[in-house]
Amino acid sequence: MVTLTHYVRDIWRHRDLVRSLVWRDFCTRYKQAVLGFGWAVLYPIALAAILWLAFEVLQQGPTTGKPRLLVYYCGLHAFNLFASGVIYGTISVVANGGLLTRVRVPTEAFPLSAVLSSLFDYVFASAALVGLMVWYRSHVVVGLNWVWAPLAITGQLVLTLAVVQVLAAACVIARDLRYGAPILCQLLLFLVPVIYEVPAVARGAWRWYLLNPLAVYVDCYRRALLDNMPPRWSYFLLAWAVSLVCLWISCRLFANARNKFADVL
Amino acid sequence: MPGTNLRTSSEPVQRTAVPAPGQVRFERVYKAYPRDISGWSAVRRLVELFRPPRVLDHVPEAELARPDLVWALRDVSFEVRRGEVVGVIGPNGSGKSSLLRLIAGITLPTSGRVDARGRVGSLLEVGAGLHPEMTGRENIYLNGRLLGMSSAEIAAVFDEIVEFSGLRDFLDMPVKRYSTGMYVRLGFSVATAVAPEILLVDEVLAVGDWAFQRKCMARFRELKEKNTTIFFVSHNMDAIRQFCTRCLFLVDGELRFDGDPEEAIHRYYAEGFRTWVVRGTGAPTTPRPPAQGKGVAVEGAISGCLRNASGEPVTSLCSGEPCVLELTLEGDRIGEDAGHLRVDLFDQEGTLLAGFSTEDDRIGLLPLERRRVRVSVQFPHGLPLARGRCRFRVVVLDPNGLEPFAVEDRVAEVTCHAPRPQSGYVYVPREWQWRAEE
Repeated sequence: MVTLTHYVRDIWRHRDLVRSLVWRDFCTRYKQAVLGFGWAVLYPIALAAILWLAFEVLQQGPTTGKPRLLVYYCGLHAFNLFASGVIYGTISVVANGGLLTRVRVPTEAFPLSAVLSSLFDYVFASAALVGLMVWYRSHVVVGLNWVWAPLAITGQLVLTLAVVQVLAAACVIARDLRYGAPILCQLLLFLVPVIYEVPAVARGAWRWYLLNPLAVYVDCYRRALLDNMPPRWSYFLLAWAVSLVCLWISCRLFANARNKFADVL
Repeated sequence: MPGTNLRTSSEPVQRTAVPAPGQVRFERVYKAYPRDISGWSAVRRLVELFRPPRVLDHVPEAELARPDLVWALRDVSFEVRRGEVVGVIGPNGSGKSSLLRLIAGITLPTSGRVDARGRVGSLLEVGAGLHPEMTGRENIYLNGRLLGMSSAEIAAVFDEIVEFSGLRDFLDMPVKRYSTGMYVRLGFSVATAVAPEILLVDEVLAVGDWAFQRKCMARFRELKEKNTTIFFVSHNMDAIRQFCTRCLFLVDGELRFDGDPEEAIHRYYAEGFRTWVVRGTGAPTTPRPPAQGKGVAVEGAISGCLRNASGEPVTSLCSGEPCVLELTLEGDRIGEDAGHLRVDLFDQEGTLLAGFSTEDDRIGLLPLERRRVRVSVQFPHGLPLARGRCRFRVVVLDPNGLEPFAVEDRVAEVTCHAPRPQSGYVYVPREWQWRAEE
């Protein structure tokens, strides 16, 4: 009780400071933000819309009989590599702002290294995946088609880098991407076969659903590791092609923006 | 090129041969920043960001007058050969940092051409890029690579870096536990470890203690001997004078002078005087009046000379020899109607030996509203200095003796020598007597 009264008394004495700090956070959080307080409104609305899309529209078909924990984790394992790459990558340029305005550095190294750093999380998380696969070994088919998993992961890294370079550059101007990127990832989670499997997607929606390269990669990863099945080739090749084109565009955009960072930061 | 003033024509940029490493060339360089982009729509800003960068071939007059742009540099042209040590001086906001950033390639010119070949070392802020959580050792590698060195190069100079920074015992400590001085020492040591072809130095000597500053200057001299081109931004005119072979003087983004450091420094103070005077008369500061306008002192506003007892100008004096410092203050109006005058005597190291003012000596205010004011300061007992060169600095102050209107850093210089051999700096007049007693 004494501690609490002390706390209250101290805080009361510093109430002006607290007020100033809150006001500072309030102002700086949305500084150079594009949407500003829109995030607070937009996020729940978007989440509701995506959940509706994921569960009511897309997910109509049957589920495979695999243990849900294994299915979820395997999907998340691949998806998180993308998500953490995007989240760290988006702030990679802004976070090095002090450096960029003072030293000529190869700026393109920042998004790339952020994406590569996310591989650490991936590797550590693999331990749990291996554990689960051993635990549910009766549901896991071991075979040669496992080689497609690293190929899916590589394609996904290419896509991640393409996305990250543009987000990292844009974040220099639109600082709210710092908050936007994690939200974006959260929403994407439902548009990628993580909490459900591709066969569960309503038949008519398939064609459109698998145009999303990320969905293809996650699907391929899980098919290879759990079912020992090759990728859905046409979609897989398309996903790779899309990723490479995105990377090419992204590199051009980043090269255009690179020399302007110091003027904006 | 030295000694030339600003060009004013507007013919397009001429492309000439590629410069050699260590050479720096600016051809009609303009750099503009948008004053405030917060009003722009996000889409416009993003489109602007991702568009291919454009470097205009020439800047129309109308652009220069646009109120939403700040022109950090206007039509700056110069060429620096390898191994030159170039001082860059000018008031705050005159474009010095923009100039360095353009050389470093951190930013692109709005118009014109910047050529700077070779490895550029930036000391725009010492310690930029040191990561607080990482140890000194890790930071040496990280920072070295950020500055464009290969691992092999860093390994080759690692010991030298450690030696120079004097941080051998702290190498495995996270940098966040370093003191400011240690931090700066580490950053400086890495940045100058491998002799760059071009080194950019922005006011680094302002941080760090005296010993470190000496060490820095020694390192700069070393690099100078290795033929590194050095750009040196400083407000410390003594450092510029000691160190630079050439000096660029910028005002409002214009290159006002390019050449001899002494001359550049002289103009710098004259400009300082001008701005102070504008303040003193309460004239609006924007738009700035032309250099010869009303209420503006002309260049060389404070001049002076040290004369001996027979009235001849002297540059060398015997200690204790009577002398007189004669000063002339010129200008349409020097600051306010009246003011105080302070004279400071410095030795070569910049140590203040003596300072006195009309206020200290209760002489009363000088009538500054006149076109020319002559002041003489008599030293009937001469200067009590046994040796060395010293200089007089003259400061014109407001009637309260607080705010300086004008400073002339080196009104007169004199070398002193003692009439009789002695040691030490202060001349002590003396007479010996002795008597033997039983």
